[in-house]
Amino acid sequence: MRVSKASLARRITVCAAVAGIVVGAAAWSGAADGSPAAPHRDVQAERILHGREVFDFKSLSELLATSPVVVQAKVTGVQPGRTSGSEETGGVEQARDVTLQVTDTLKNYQGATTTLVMEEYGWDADGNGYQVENVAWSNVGDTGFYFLRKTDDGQRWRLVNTQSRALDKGGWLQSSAEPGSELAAALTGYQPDELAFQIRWMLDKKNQQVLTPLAEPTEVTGPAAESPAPDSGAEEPIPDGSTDDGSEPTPYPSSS
Amino acid sequence: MPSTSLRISGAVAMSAVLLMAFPATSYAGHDDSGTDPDNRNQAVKGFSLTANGTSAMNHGKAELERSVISTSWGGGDIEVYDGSYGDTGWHGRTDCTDWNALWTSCDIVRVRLNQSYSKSASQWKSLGCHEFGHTADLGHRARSNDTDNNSCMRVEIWPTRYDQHDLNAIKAGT
Repeated sequence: MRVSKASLARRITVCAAVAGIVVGAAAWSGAADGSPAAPHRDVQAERILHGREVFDFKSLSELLATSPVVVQAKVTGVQPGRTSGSEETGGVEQARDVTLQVTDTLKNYQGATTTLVMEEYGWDADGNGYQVENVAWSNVGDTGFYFLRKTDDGQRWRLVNTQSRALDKGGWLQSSAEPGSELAAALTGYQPDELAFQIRWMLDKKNQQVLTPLAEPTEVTGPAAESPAPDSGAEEPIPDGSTDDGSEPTPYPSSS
Repeated sequence: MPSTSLRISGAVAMSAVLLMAFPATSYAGHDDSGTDPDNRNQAVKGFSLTANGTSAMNHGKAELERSVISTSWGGGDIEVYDGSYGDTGWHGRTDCTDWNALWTSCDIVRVRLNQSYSKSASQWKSLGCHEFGHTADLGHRARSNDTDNNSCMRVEIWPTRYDQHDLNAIKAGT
C-alpha cells in the first residue's frame, strides 16, 4: 500500500497523542498509590512542620537518660497508620507506621518480638505529605539508632522527639537534630559501633552518674486541660534593641 | 511539507505527552525550609479556642505587631486551633496548609496548641509568641545565639517576646 508523506506524518502524530495519553494516565494512577480508587497519599514529604517540643536535648547524656528505650534497628516496612484529629482541632492527620527490625537492644527494649512499629508523621486529610522538623521520612533499608517511647495508644512507639534518631549514612551517623544544634554537633563524627559502645558505657552502673535526664512534662486531661492557667501577673519587659547576644552579624540565621 | 493543521496537531500531541506525564502533585522541591508568609498583612482567626489558647493567640498576634508585619482579625492567613492532642511530645506546631501556586510563600498557616501538657499563663504566652514566629518564617534560636535569653524562639526556656534579632529576621525574611 502506498502511503503519502502527509498521511504518514498524520499517523505518527495520532500515535504520539495516543502514547501521550497512555503514559499520562499511567503516571496519574501511579501518583494515586497504584489504584484509581485508593486515597491519594504523597509518596514523599512535600512540606516541613515546625513547632515547640517538650524536650530539647543538648547532649547524648540527656537524650539517653530521658529515652525509655534505645535500639539499633533497620526499617523493613512503611505503611499508612492510624488517623487522629478532627476539623475542630485543625484537621485529620494520618501517621506512617514504620516497621523496625531490632538488631541490637541498647536500653530497655523487652518486646516479645524483634520487630516494633514506630509512628512517624505523616499525611494531612488530603493526603499531602509532611515531615516534622528535621526527621525525613523513613525508607525501607534505613539503619540507625532510635530513641523511643510508647505512643498514647500503648501499641506503637515514637521518637522521643525530633532529635531522637541517628541514621547510618555510609558508615557515619547523621543525627535528626537540627543541623548546627548542640546535640547534632555532639553526635557528628560517630560511627555506629562507636556510638553503641559509648551508649553501653554510659548505661553501665559504674558510669550512670553521667546521665542527666530532663524533667518529664506534667500531663493534664479532662476539664483541667481547658482550665485557664494561673496568671502570675508579671509581664516580661520588651527587650531593648540590642543584638549583642551572639546572634549578629548574621541577619537571618533561622533556616528552619 | 506538513500542513499547518498537521503542525498544530503535532504540538497538541506533544503537549498532551508533557502535561499528562507529570502529575500536578508537588513534592519537596519547593521552598520548604520555612513558612514564608505571602505578605506583611496577616489576618488571624482562632477556632473555638480555650482561654489558654486565646491568650496564646492574642499574645502571638501582639508580638507580630512589633515586627514589620501588621495583623488584623479574620480568616485567610493565620488559623489557630487548640486541643488535647495527647502525649505527642509537642506543645505547639505550625505549618502551611495552602501554598501559593509556585510553592514559594504561604497563604494559610495553621497553628496548633497542645493543651495536654500543663503550662503556666506565661508559658502559654511564650508558646503563642513562638508559634507565631514560625508563621513569620522564624526558626529556632539556641543559647549560643541568644545569650541574654530573651527570645521566645528558644525551645528550652520560655521568654515571651521577640528580641531585636528576631524582629530583624522577620524584616529580612518576609
